Amino acid sequence: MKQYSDLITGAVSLLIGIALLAMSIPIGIQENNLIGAAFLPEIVSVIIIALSLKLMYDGFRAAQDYEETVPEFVKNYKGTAVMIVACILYAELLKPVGFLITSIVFLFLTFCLMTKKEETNYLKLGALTIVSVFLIYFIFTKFFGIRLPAGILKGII
Amino acid sequence: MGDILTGFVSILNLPILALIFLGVFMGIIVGAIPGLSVTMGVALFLPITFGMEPIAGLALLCGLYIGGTSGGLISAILLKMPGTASSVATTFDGHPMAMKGEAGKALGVGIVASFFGGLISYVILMFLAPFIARFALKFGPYEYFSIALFSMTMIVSLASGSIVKGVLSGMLGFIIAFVGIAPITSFRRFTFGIADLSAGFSILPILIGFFAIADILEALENKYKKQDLSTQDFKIRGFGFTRDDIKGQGFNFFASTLIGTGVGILPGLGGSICNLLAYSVCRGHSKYPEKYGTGIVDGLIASEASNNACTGGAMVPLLTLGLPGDNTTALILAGFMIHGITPGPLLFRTQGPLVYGIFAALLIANVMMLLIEFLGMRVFIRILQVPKNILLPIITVFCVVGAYANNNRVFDVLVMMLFGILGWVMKKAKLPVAPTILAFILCPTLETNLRRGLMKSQGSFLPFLTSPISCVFIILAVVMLVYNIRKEILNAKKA
Amino acid sequence: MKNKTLKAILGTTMAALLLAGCSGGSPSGGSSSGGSSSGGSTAPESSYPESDIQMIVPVGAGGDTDANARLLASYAEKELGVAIPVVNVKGSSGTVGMEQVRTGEADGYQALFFHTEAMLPKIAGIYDYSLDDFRLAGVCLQANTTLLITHNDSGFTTLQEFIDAAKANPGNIEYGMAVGGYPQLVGLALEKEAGIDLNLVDIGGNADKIAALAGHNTDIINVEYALVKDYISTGEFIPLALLSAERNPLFNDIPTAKEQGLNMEFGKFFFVAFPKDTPDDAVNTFSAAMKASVENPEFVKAAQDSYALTPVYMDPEEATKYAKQVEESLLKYADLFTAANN
Repeated sequence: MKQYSDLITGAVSLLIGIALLAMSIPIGIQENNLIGAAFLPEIVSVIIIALSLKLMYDGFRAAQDYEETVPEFVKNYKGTAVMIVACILYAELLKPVGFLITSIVFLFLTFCLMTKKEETNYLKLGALTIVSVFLIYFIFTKFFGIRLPAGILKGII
Repeated sequence: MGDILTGFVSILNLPILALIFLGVFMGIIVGAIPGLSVTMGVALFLPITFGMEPIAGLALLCGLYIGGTSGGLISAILLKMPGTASSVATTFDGHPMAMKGEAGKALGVGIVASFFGGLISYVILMFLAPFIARFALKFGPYEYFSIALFSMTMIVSLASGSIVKGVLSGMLGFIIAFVGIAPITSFRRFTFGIADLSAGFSILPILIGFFAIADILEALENKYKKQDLSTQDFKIRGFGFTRDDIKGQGFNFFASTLIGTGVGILPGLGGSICNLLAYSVCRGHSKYPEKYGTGIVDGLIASEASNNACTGGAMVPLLTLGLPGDNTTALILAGFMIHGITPGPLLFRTQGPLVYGIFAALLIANVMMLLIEFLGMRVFIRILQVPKNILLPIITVFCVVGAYANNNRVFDVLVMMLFGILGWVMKKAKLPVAPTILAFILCPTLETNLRRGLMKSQGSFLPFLTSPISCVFIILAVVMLVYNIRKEILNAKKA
Repeated sequence: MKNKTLKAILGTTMAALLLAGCSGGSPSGGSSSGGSSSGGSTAPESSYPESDIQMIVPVGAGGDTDANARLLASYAEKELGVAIPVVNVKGSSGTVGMEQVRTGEADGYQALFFHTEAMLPKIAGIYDYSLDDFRLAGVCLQANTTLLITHNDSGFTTLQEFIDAAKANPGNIEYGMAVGGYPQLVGLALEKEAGIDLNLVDIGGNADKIAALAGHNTDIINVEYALVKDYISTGEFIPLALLSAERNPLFNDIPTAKEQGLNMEFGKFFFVAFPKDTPDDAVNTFSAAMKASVENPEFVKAAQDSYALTPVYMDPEEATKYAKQVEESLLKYADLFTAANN
C-alpha cells in the first residue's frame, strides 16, 4: 500500500482534473464566452491532468525500488477515524443542539481519545471539560460579543 | 515641520498613550487567539471610538491593528497555528524551532523582526507616502493580473520536496477558490446546488482547518509515538537570542520588509500574501533552501518582517488616497469617516497635525508592541508546558468558535472540519499546503483582473504586454518558471 | 480637548468594566428571565427586549453600510437598554445575510440592516424574494449623495458635454462599475435615459472605483459624495450630476441630473427589517427606538459629518410603502439588467 502512495495520489488528482474539466466545459458552452467563468478552471484542469500523469509515472517507478522500513510505533488509525466522525457531527449538531452541549461532549471525547489509557482519569478530564467550555463560552460571548448558537438551551442561558 | 511637531505632541499625553496601550494589548490577545482576527478586534472597538476625539479613536484603532498583526506570531510559533493569513509563513520555521526547544529564541527573533519591519515601513510611510501612492494608482487590471501571475510562480519555491506535488497542491488551491460566484459575471459554478456554497469559501476556516484540525488528527494518529521529553528552556534571557543567531540576516530582513511594504501599498492585492511571498523569495535566494522549514531564523524573519511592514504599507493608500486595501483598513477608514474626516489627497494639507499624530501613534504602538511582547513572551511560552492531550482538544473548541465568528455562519464550522480532514489527507500524500493557500488567496485577484482587463480592452490581450509594468512582471514570471523547471530537470539528472 | 479625551478613556474603561460586569451578572439575570419566558407563551409580550438584539449586516466590516449600522446600533442600544451587537454576514451581494435573517426565528432578536441594494437580487432575477418577505421596522437614513463623476482629463466637464462626447464616440467612453450591483444598474439606466452607448467595465467596489478614476484608468463612475469630496476640492474629479430629486443642502453647488434634463434618481435608503412573522410589539418597539435615535441631534450630526447622509425616520407602514415605490422605479430597468448579465 505505502509503496504506491504517489501512484494513488496521482490517480486521485487525475480523477479530480478530469472531473473539473468535465464540469467546466458545459459552463463554457452555457456562457458562450471564451474567457468566462470556465476559462481558468479549464486551464487548471489541463495542468492537473498533465502533472497527475507525471506523478503516476514517477510513483510507478519509485514503487519498483521501494524498501519497507520498520515503523517505530503503531499508528492509531482507529482514534483518527473516530475523531473525523466526531468533528463532522460536532459541526452538524452545533446549530440544532447548541454550542455548550456539543462542545462539552466533543471536548470530553477528544480528551479521552488523546490521553493514553493508563493516564486517563475520567473525573479530572470531565471537570476540565466543563471548566474549559464554560470559560470559552464566557470569554467569547461576554467579552467579544459573539453570539454562539444556543440550540436546545435557548431561553435558559 | 510644525505639523509633525503638533502631531507628536497631540499623542504625547497620558490618556492617548493609555488608549494606544489598550489597543496594542487587546490586539495582541485577539491576534494570538487562533480564530480571532484583527478585523474582528477593530470592528469590536470601532463603535467605542465614535464618541472620542478623532486622534484618540484612531490611535486606539492603530494600536489594535499593530498589536493584532504582530500577535499572530505567538500562536504561529507556539501552536503552529496562524492567527490570520498574514502569519502563515511564520509557522513554517517558527514552530519547528519551538519543537527543537528554541521557542524563546523563535519568539524573540519574531518580535524583533516585527518591530523593525514595522518601523521601517512607518518611516517610508511618513516621508514617501504621497509619492508612492501616486505610483500605485497606475496599477490597473493589467498590472494586477501580471503581479498575481508572477506571485503564482512562487508556488514553485514554496513546494518543499517535489515540484510536481507543489504545483498540484497549488492547483487544488485554485479549485477551492473557483467554488461559488465567479467574478464579473456572477455565474454560479461548482456549487452542486448547495446554497451555502454560493458565497464560496473564506480563508479563515480553511486556514484553521489546514493547521489546527489537521494537526489534531495527526497527533491522534501518532498517539503512541514516543515523545521526547521537552528540553525547552523556559528561562528567557533578554530577547532569547544572541547576535550570532541573526548574523547575515540583513538581506533577508530588508528584502522582506520591502516586499511587505510594497504589497501593502497596492490596495488591490490584499495584504495577507506578503508573508508567503517574502518567505519564498528569501528561500529562493538562500544558499541553503533545503534548510527552510526545519526551524531556521531566516524563514521566521522573512515572514514576520514582511507582515508588519505590510501594515505601514497599507496605511499609504488609506491616508493619501482614502483607499483601504483590506477589511481591517476599511474599518479604520470608517473610523475616520465617522468623525467627518475623509482620507484623500487633501488629508496631508487639511489635517496635517492629525496625520502626523497617526504616524506618531503607529511608532509608539510599535514600541509598545515590542515591550508588551518582550514581557509577555515569558508567559506565553508556558503554554508549551501544557500536555498535548489537553492543549489540542481545547484549541479545537477555540477554533470552532473562531470559524463560526468569522462570518457568523455554522456552515463555516463544517468547512473548517472538512478542510482539516483534507489537510490531514494531504499530509499523508506528502502534498504541501502552503502552495494551496497561496493559490487560493491569489486566484480571485488573478481571475478578476484577467477578465476586467479583457472587458476594458474589449477582448484584446495586447494591453497586458504593452503596459510597461505589466510587461515586466510577465517577463519575470516566465523567467522564474523557466529557471525553476531547468533546475528541476538538472536535479533529476543528478539523482 | 483633553477633557473630552479623558471622558472617552473613562467611557472605554467603563464599557470594558460593563462588559465584564454584565458577564458576571448575566448568568443569574439570564436564567431568571429565561425562567419567566419558559413559564409559557402567555407571558406578556411587552417585555421586549429582554436580551441582546443581533443586528445582521449582510456585507463585510468596513464601508458605509457597516458604519451606519454600528452608528444606529450605538444609539438604539441606549433607547432599548439592551446590547445590539452588529454581526457581519457577508457573501453573494448580501443574500447570505438576508437569508439568515429571513429564515431565522421571528422573535425580534435578529434584525437586518441594509439598504436599497437588497432589492437587486430580485430585479436581476437571481432570487425571487425581496423586501416583501421581511417586515420593515423602519427607515433611518437616506443617502441623496450619489454622483456621476469624472476625472479632470476626460475632456468633458458637464453632463451635456459628456452626453455629446458619448454620442460622438459610441461604446468608447468607459463607465466603471461592478457587474450585478447597483452601479451597473445606474450605468445601464444612464445609457437608456441619455440614449448613449458606453463601455461598461467591471472595476469593483468603491475603493477600486475611486482608485481607477484617480489613476485615469476609467472615465466616469457613480460614487457617494462623502468618499470623494477631497478629490472634488482639489479639482481632480469633476462632478457631473447628483442623482437625486433635489440638490443636497450639504453640498448645494452640485446640480441634479433632473435639472439638466436627465431623469435619473438613484438614492439609497437604509432600513431595519425583521422576519415576516415577527410580532407587532417587537417591531414597533424597535421602530420607536429608531425614531428616537434619528431625532437625537448627535446622531444627526454624526450621519451628516460622516457620509453626508440625511437622517429620515419612517415608521413600518411608511417604510413599506416607500420601499415598494423605489422597487417599482427600479423595476423598469429589470429587463436591461437581466439582458446585460445573461
